[in-house]
This record gives sequence, structure tokens and C-alpha cells, in this order.
Amino acid sequence: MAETRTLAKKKKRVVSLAAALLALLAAALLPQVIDSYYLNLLIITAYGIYLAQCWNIMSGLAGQFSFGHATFFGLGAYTSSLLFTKAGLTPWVGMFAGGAVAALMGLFIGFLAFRYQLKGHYFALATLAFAEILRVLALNWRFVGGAMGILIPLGNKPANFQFPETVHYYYVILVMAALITFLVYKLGSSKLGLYLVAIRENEEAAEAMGVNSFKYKLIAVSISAFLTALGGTFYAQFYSYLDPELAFGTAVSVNILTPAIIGGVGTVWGPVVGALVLTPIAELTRGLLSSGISMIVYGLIIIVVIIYLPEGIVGLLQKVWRRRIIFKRRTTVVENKPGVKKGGF
Amino acid sequence: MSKAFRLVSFFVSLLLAGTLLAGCGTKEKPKESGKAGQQATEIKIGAIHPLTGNLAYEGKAIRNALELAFEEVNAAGGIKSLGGAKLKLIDGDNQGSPEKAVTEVQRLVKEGAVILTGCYTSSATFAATQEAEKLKTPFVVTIASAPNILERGFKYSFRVQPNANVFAKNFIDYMKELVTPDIKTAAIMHEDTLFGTTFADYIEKHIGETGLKLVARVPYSNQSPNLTAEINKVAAAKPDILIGTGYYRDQTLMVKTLKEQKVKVKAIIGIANGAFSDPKFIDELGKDAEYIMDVNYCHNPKNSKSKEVMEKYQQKYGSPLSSHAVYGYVVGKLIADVLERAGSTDKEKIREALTKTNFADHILPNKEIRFNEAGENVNAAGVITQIQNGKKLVVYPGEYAEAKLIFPMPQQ
Repeated sequence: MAETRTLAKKKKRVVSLAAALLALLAAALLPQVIDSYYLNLLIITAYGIYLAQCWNIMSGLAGQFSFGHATFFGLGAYTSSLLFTKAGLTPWVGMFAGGAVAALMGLFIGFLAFRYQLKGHYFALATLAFAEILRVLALNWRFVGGAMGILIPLGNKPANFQFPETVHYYYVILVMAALITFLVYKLGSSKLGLYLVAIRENEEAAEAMGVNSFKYKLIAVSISAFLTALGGTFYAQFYSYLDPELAFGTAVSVNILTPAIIGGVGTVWGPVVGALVLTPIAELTRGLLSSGISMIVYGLIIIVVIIYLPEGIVGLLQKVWRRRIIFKRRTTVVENKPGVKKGGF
Repeated sequence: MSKAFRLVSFFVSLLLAGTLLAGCGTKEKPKESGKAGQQATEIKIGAIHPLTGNLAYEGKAIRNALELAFEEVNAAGGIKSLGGAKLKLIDGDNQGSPEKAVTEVQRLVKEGAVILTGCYTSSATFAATQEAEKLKTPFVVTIASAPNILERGFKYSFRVQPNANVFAKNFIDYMKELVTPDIKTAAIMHEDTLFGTTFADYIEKHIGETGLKLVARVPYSNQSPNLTAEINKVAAAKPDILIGTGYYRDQTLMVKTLKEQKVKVKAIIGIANGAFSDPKFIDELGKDAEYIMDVNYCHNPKNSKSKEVMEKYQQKYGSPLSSHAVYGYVVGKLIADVLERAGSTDKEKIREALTKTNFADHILPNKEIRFNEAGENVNAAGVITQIQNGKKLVVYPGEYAEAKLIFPMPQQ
């Protein structure tokens, strides 16, 4: 009996993996049939998925809600751009330098916050404060361009993370988004991931079970920070311009976390679904309705989602799925021990 | 939450989605038909400005001025070389962000815009011009003052307005002519983002040429609720003139605080000042606004056409034509001239015609509009305005002046 169940599980996993691969393949082939307007939307979507997924590792999986991911995003963007414009170092390398800087910053913030037991809203506020500090610093520090920001010289050498065709940027960000989604998926069933979920669900209990919550929280923050910084480099290279507001502004932090929240915090597919839903909504409302109304409609849709789907779209789907299973089980006569209820993951 | 409430709101959201889809359907259709007979009937011009968010007021004003210019052109028979084709403005809203600006460039070009204009903020304009360049679509900047927007070798970007360096240079040049021996020192107070810092950097570097000595440079955040400490710094340096660059709220606060603290200076001069050229400023400060000067763009008061345009604008949109919006109007007229000369809606031909621009029929206090290699208007320049008896008047240079400059200002 148990064997058939694991077999069924395995089969299910293969099917879902195949589905994901197919979706990825479709996404990769899409640019062949669409024009540059939709291509741009695809880039924005994939970029949204990537950043939301970064946020998801720290705030979804480990439950350390960050309201200041712009800190890491901006550090990544600034580091690689400065290395590129001032030292001529290719952003392919610079992005990892940026990642390292951001990860160190993450460790620093995490160390301070966790050492002094900052939790929940207070932790979120602390992250916000760091982003603001960096914004003001960047604004007043001449060496990094001050208020002028950094204008990245245009070029089309792939070796410099600059491509002749927009579609190349799409492939870069698509691969990044796919890899990180896979990473989050893998993390979910790994020991580290389970520790993180345990910490999120009940830190004291996790500690009591011997999980070093301080250490694992720091690991989550630094992984998330590192990856977010890579997204920052992508932004700088794609738009070729960077200023303190674009790198460290509150709007950046909000845009990073919205897809994850709409899609479903702490789930593998939440950020993906969130970005896939949000980008078209933002576009449709802006393109079709007059400017003021579009914002109202966009806002309304988000409010409706938050009121009715507190666990996001994926949360809703899971609920429906579970109900169906329970319903099925009730109707079948065979009563087995109910399987272990799957957690948020 | 009751079940009924849930049900109702579910239907409301369904309706919302429905309207969205419905709008989708209706929008699609004219696009198709537009493709078939687009040559003679309609030429689409995209305008990308912040229409929502904290910059919406100015963004809308520029957009409205463009619309007014197009209406005038259409009423006068449209573009004659294209069989009387009408100009049609299509709106893009960049919400002040570069990402949105890029998306809007893409969308408007897809909807058939052959020329784009925008974007009011420099950061959005950086991104928008770059995207337009990729799509080989001519882009005429309405307002965006960062000089390096056009320092990237773009072929499709053009700018009518004076950039920040030109303003600052105008200031230095005018001061060279105006400074009298008893005016020796200056202080500058500027907001600390791109806008204010650019000017301050230039002034700091070049003020020596005017014979003035910079005795204080005081940056402040345009968000700060109070500028007393900054004004005290200025007062301690005892400058003869105070130079201010910033936005409406903070520069108004600066003058208010200055008057409250009874700090006496011989002149207050703004550079592209967000407050000193705004009619609201005079309403708010009354007598305290008197004699304040600003090196800024403005309409040409000596041109009889200006008054006509301003009246029309006031009538149609219910607010005075701001100096930003003047450029919306001028760009609109310029586009008509360019299309007339291009005789085509082909974007290459339009670009060609733009490079050969020699357009004098505008309402700016400048000579004809001509573009250099980089796409900058070679004759772009600011003028000095001064508030006299509750009115903002052009006072310098002489050929455009409607009143005499009072400098230094009389001490009350």
C-alpha cells in the first residue's frame, strides 16, 4: 500500500516536472511569434518572477518578512555598474561581486536584527530603514554619481552583458527565473528548506528540536540577498540607467514583494503565478482605461485578491485541490489513514 | 463578512474583469481598420508623460498643450503635404518611472505612433529615448533637462528646451552682464536630487567668471518640512545674492523662511526654479514674492501669438499655460512642421526632416529651432523673469523683455 503511494507520488512529480519543462519551452519559443511589445512584457514578467522568488526565499520560506529588498537590489545594481563604468569590469563578473556585497549586507542586517530578536513588523521596518539609509547615502556620495546616478554606456557586446537584440535579455532573465524557481522547489524538500519552514511556523519549537534558528535565518537572508543583487544587475544592464531612487526606493521593495504576495507567499509557484497575473493586469488597465481610472482598477483588483485570497492565488488553488481530495476520500468506501497533510509548501 | 456581501463583491469583480475584456475587444478593432487607410486620414503621435502619481499635474498640462497644438493644426486643414491628414494624440502614462516609460514606448509604437514625445522626468526620458532608438522611432523631448540624455549618440532623439547646462550657462552669462561692483558674493541653496545638484555643480564651477564669490553651498532634501537650519547657514555667510534651485514646495518654503528670519539679500535668483515661475507662488507669498528673479524657460511675451495661445489654453483647460506646457505646445507645432516637410509617415523620412528643422513660427523667446548633430536645439536659451507688482514678467535679455529689470532689489 505504502509502495503504491510513493509510486503515485513519484509519477505525480514526473508529470508536474514535465509540465513545468513544457511551460518553460513554450516561454522560450514565444518570442518567435510575438512582437516587441509583448516581448517587453514577457521580460517584465520574467523579471518580476525572478525578484519575487528571491524575496520568497527569505520572506516566504523562512518567514522573515522583508520590506526593504531594494537594499540588496540596489547594492547589486550599483556594484556591478560602478565596476563596469569605472573599472571596465564586465557585469557578468560584477554581478557576482554585487551579489557578494549584498550577501554581506544581508548578513549584517540579519545579524543585528536577529541578535536583538527583531521579529515580524519590526524586522520589516528595520529592512526598510536600511534601504532608506542606502538611498540617502547614494544620493549624497559623489563617487557613485550622487543624484545624477549612473548612466551605463551603451553597447552590444554580449561579453559586457549588453545584447544587440532585446530577445537576448529575455533569454537571460528567463533562465534566471527558471533556475531560481527550480532552486526554490529543491529547497522546499531539502533539509535547509525544512529547517526554514520549521522556523517560520514556530521558531521556539524549531529551536527546541535543535534547529539553530539564528544560523539558518542568516543563511536564508544571505541567499536571498545574493540572488536579489543579480536581479539588480540585470535591471541596470537592461535599462542602462540607475539612480538612488530607482535602486533603493521604496517602490522597488514593493514591486519585488507584490507578485509573491498576490501569487502566494512561501509557495513555489506563487511568485510565478503572481507575476503572470499582475503584469497583464497592469498593462491592460493602463492601455485600455484613462490614466486615473486604470490605477483605481488596478488597486481594486489587488484589494479584492488580498481580501478574498489571503494565501494568494496558489493558496486558493491548493485549498480547492485539498477539498477535492477530501471529498473524493469521503465518497470512496476505502478508509485509509489520512495522508500527512501537506504544509504550505 | 456575510455571504451576501461576498457574493455581491464577487459579481463586482466579475463585472470589472468583463469591462476589461470588453474594452480589449473594442480597442482591437480600430487598429485593424487604421492600418488599411492610415495614410490620408490620421497620423498618430504618442505622448508619454506622468498622468498619474505626484507629477501628474505637470504631465497633464504638457499633454494638454500638445493636444491644443494638434487641434489648431487640424482645424487649419491638417498636414497638407499628406492630403490634409489629421494629427491624433495617443496617450502614454509613464507614472514617472523608467520601466513604465519603456513599456509605453513599445505600446504606442505598436498602436501606430510615428513620433513620440515625453517624458517630463529625466530618468524616464533616459529609458524612453533609448527604447525609441531601438525601435527607430523619432522622439522629441518635451521636458527633461539632464544634459546627458542626448550625449549617447542617439539618432532619433531631439530636444527643443534648453538643457540644465544651458540654463546654468545662461545664468552665468547674464550675471556677467548684470553684476555691479557692490554685489560681490553669492550663496546657493539647492534640493539634493539630480535636478538641483546639476545646477549647483555647474554654478560652483563657473561662478568665478562672473566676478562673484560663492560663499555658501547649502543642499537640502526636497522632503524636509523645515529649512530653518539651512537658512541660518546662508545667513551666516552673508551673501549678496541667493541662488535657489528646487521644486515648488521646497523653494517656496525657502523664501518664506528667509523672510521670517529677516535675512536680507540684494537679490534672490532661481535657476529653472519650480516655484519662482509658478503663478501659485505669487498667490501664496504676495508681497514677499516681489522682485524675485528666475532664469527659466517661458513664452515670448513680445510675440502676439503667445497671448492668443495662453487665452485658448486657459479657456479649454481652465488653468493658465505653465512654462513647461509652453514646450508641449511648441513641440506640437514643430511636429506638424516636420510632418509637412517630410510629406510622409515613414519614420526615416520624419527623422530626416527633423534634422533639417528650421522652425521660427513658435512662441519661445528664442531664435528659430535648429538641431545640432546630437539633437539639441542650438538656439535654446532661458530668459530672466522677475515678479513685479504681482506679475511674472520677462525682464532680460532686452529683445524679449516686457519690463525693466530691478536689480538689486530695493530694501524694504
